[in-house]
Amino acid sequence: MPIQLLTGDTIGKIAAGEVVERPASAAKELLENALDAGARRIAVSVASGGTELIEVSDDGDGMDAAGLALAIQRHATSKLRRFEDLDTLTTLGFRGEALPSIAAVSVLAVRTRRAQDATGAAIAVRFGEAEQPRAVAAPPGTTVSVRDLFANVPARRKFLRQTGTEAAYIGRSVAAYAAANPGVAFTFEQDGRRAFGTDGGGDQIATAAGVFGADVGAAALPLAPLDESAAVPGVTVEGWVGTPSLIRSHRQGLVFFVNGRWIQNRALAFALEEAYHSLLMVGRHPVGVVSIRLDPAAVDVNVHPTKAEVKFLDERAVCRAVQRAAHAALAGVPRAVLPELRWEPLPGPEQQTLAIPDQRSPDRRELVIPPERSGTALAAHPQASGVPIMRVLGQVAGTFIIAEGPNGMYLIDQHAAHERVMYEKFLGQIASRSADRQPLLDPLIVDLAPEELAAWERSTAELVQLGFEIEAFGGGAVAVRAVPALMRGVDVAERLRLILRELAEGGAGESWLDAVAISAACHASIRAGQSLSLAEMRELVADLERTDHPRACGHGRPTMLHMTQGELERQFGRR
Amino acid sequence: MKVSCLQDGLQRALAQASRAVATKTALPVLSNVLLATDEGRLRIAATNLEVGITTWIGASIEEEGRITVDARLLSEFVNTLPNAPVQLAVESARSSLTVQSGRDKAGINGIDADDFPVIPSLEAGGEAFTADVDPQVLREMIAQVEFAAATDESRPVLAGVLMRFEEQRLTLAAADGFRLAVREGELGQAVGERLDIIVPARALRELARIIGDQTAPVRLAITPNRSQLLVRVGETEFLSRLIDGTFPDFKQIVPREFGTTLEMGRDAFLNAVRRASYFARDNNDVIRLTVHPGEEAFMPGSVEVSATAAERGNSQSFVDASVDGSETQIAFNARYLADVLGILKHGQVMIGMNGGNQAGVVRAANGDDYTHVIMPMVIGAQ
Ligand SMILES: Nc1ncnc2c1ncn2[C@@H]1O[C@H](COP(=O)(O)OP(=O)(O)O)[C@@H](O)[C@H]1O
Ligand SMILES: [Mg+2]
Repeated sequence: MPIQLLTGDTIGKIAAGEVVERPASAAKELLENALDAGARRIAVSVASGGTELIEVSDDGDGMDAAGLALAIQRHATSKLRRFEDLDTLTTLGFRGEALPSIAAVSVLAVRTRRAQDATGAAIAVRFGEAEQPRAVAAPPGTTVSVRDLFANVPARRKFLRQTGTEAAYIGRSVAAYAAANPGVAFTFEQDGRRAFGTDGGGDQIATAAGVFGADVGAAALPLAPLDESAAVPGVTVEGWVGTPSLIRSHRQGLVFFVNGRWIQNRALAFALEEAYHSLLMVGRHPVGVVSIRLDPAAVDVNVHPTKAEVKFLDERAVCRAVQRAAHAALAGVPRAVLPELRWEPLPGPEQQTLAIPDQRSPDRRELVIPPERSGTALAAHPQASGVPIMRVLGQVAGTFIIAEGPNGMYLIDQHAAHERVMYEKFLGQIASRSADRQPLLDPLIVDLAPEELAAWERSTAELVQLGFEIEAFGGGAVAVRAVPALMRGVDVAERLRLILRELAEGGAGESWLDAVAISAACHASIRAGQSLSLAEMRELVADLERTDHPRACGHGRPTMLHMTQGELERQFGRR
Repeated sequence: MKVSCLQDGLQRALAQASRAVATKTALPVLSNVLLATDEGRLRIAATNLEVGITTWIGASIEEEGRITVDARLLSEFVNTLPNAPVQLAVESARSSLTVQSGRDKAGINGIDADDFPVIPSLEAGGEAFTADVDPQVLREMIAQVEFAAATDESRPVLAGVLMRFEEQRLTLAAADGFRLAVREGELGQAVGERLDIIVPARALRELARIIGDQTAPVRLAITPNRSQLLVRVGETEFLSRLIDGTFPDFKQIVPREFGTTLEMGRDAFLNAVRRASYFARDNNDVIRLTVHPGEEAFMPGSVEVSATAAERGNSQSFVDASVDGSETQIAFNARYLADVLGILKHGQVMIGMNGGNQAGVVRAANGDDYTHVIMPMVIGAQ
C-alpha cells in the first residue's frame, strides 16, 4: 500500500504510548521496520550503548521521497488502514509511531532508495525539527541512523543504565531477532567491533550457533513440526530449545516470537518449562528461541505500546502447542539423570595423617553395621522403578535422609521425595474420579489476599477434584468445608494459601489440574527442617521407591543425590 | 545448705521433676533442677516454662539453702547410690553441690538458685480459683479426650483441651477439626463461678502421668494472675501455662438425634476396625461400615467393616450388632475409630449416625458422660 495518514478514528483506537523507553527499544523498532521492508540483509551498529549511535541498514523495499517525508510524521504507516486490518496484519509495525517518536528525541537520519527508482532520498530530523528531503545516491534499501538519543531529554538520559548494560539490552534484541529470522543475514557491530553475525542461509541451528556461540548451537534441539495427532490446529511452532545441560538461572535465555514479533509471556515460558518436567531444577531455566505462527486474528497485538505483550484468543491452545513441540524435541533426552554427588576432601594437613583403622581389622568390624543386603546381589537386579532399594541410616539438618544403597550412599531430600509421593497419590486418586475428602466438623474460615482469591476462583473445579470443598464466605474470605484426605494433619489454612499463592504466580503443570495437583502435593508434604523418626523415614523411602518417577518432585527438583562407593573410597584415599 | 535425705525418695523426686526439665534450651538454668530447703522438707523443682513440676520430700535440715544443678547428672549419680541416707551440701557463697553417700561423693557445679524462674505454689495461697476432683476420674477424663486435640499449632486453641468448671461439673473437650471428644465428670464440691480454661494437651498428658495411681483428691487451681493452671497431687505440684482464646462452641456440633443407632461389643468392633485398617493404610485410612439391620424386628443385625487398597487387597469383617434404624453406609478414618474405641472400656459401644455425610457419634452404651463425634470421609465420586 502507498503511505498515507491514518484517519483520526483509527488513531484513537490505537492507544498512544511511550514507544522509546531506552536505546534498545529504538533499535527494536528499527529492526522491525527493516524486517517489515522484506530485508534479506540487516546490519546493526551501535556506539556507546546506543546513546551515541544506533544504525540499522537493510536491503529491503526502501521508500520514495514522498513516502519518506510521511514516514517521519506521527501515525503515518504503510501497514494499516483501518483498525480491522489488525486482524490480518502480517507486519511487525502498524502504529506509525516509531520513527517520529525516535526523531523527537534524537538526531535521526534516513537514507533510502527503492530498487525501481533511479535516485534515493534522504532526510534528517533534529529533535523533532525535520529538514526537507533531498535527492541522494543510495544503494537499494534503507539506512536509519539515530544519534544523540535523549540528548534533549536529560531526565531520560539519567534514567538509563551504564552504557555496557544498555549495549547488552540492544545486543539481546538483535540476537533475538537474528535467531528468529534464520533467512535474514544479520551482522551486529558494537563500538566498531563485530559482535556476531548470521549467514541468512535459513538453518535454525546454524543461526543459533552464529548468534549465541558454538556451544549453544551444539545443545540446540530443533522444534520439528508435530505429526497430525499431536499438532494443535492453527498453531505452528518453530525454532529450537536447549538440552537440559544448557540452563540459565534466569528466564532471559528463552525468547518467544509470535508471528515474527518478539513478545513476553509468562504462561508460554511456564508451559515450555513444563516440558522439562523433572529435567530441570527449581530456579533453573531453559534456553531457546521459539517462533509461533498463528492466524493474526487469533492474537491481539495491540495491548502494549511497545508491542511486547500480546493477548491470545486461546492462550491454553498456544501453550499446549509450545509444550508439545518442546516435549517432542526433548523426547530423546534421557530423563531423571541421577546427579552424582562428589565431596570435596576437607582442607588441612590433618587429613593425610589421620589414621583410620582398616575396615578389615576385627575391632573395627564391631562398629560397622552390616548392610542388610549385599551390594552385588542388588546390582544384578536393578529396581524397575529407577531407584535402588535403600536402607535408611539417619537424617541431616532435619531435611535430608541418608541412606545406603547397593552402590554407595544416597542423600534424599525429604520434602522433594514426599512431594513426589503425594503428587502421584493425588494423580492416582483423580485418575478416574475425584479424590477422597475429609469434611471438617466446623467450616474453617480462611482470609485470602485478592490474588489468592482470584487463584481460587480460577481453580475451583480443580480444587474440588482434588478433594477440597471451599465456599465463598464474603469479605475476601472462604469457608473450607472439607480437605483432601491426603492432606489431613497439616495446617489447612496456611497450606491452602500457599497453594493459591503458587497458582497465582502461574503454577506449573501440563494442565491446570496438574498445576493444582503439583502445588497441593507440594504443600501437603513434609517440610524441610522437620525431624523424622527412623520409621517415618523408612516409610517415606519405601513410598518413594513405589512411585513411577522417583527421582524428581512434581516441580522437577531432584529427590536424591548419590555418592558412589568408589567415590567414597577415593575421597578417603583407599583407592 | 546442708541436708540429709533418703536415696530412694530423692531418686523418685528427681525422676518426677526431671519430666519438666527443658531439653533444648538457650537458658542453661532450665536444664537444671532446683533443690531448696522448705519448712523442714527438701523442695525439688524443674520447669521448661511450658510446664513446671515441684515435689517435696522429707529431709533433715542442718542448714537452709538452695541451688540448681544439672538435672540429668544429679539423677544419674543419685540413681547409682545405695538406698541409704544421702547428704547434700552447698558451701555458702559457692554454687557447687556436694552429694555424698558413705564413701561415694560428687561435686556438681551448679547455677545460683536466684537465676531459676519462680514457680508458683498452692502453698503460697491466694489462687484465683480452686476445685477438687477425684484423681482417677480426672486421669480417665484426660485419657478420653486429649488424643482428639490437634497436633499442629495452626489453631492454638485446638492444640489444647477445654476444661469447663460449672457448678459441680467438670467438662473436658478437645477437637482437631475432624473429631471432637467430650467427657463430663463430678467435682468434689460446686464451684462458685463458671470457668473455662484451655490447657495444652501435652501438659494434661503429663498431669495424667503424675497422677498415676494416686487416690487422694487432686486440687486444681488458677494462679493469682490467672495465666496458669496449678494442680496439687499428693506431695507434687504441677504447673502449666494456659492457652489464650475461646474454645469453639462444641455443644452445637454434637448431633442429638440419629437415623440409625447400633450397639455392639467394643472388643469385637475394635478388632474388626484394626483388621481393616491394615488394608486401609494405603488408601487414606478409609474404612467403610455397612450397617445391616436384622431381617426382622427381633433379629440382631450386623455391621460389615471393610477396606480396600488398590495394590494390596481387601478385607471384610462382620460384627454382630443390634441395629435400630435403616440400612446405612458410612466411611471413617480407621485411626479415628481405633483411637476412640481404644479408650472406651470393654463392654458395649453405641454408634449413632445420620447417613454417610453427617457426623457420627461414638459412646459407651451404658453411660452418657462421654461423647465422641467423628466426621465421616467422603469417597471421591466416579
Ligand atoms: N527500513 C524501512 N524500509 C522501508 N520502509 C520503512 C522503513 N522504516 C520505516 N518505513 C516506513 O515508514 C513507516 C513508518 O514507520 P514506523 O514509524 O516505524 O511505523 P510503522 O512501522 O508502525 O508503520 C512505515 O509504515 C514504512 O512505510
Ligand atoms: Mg515500525
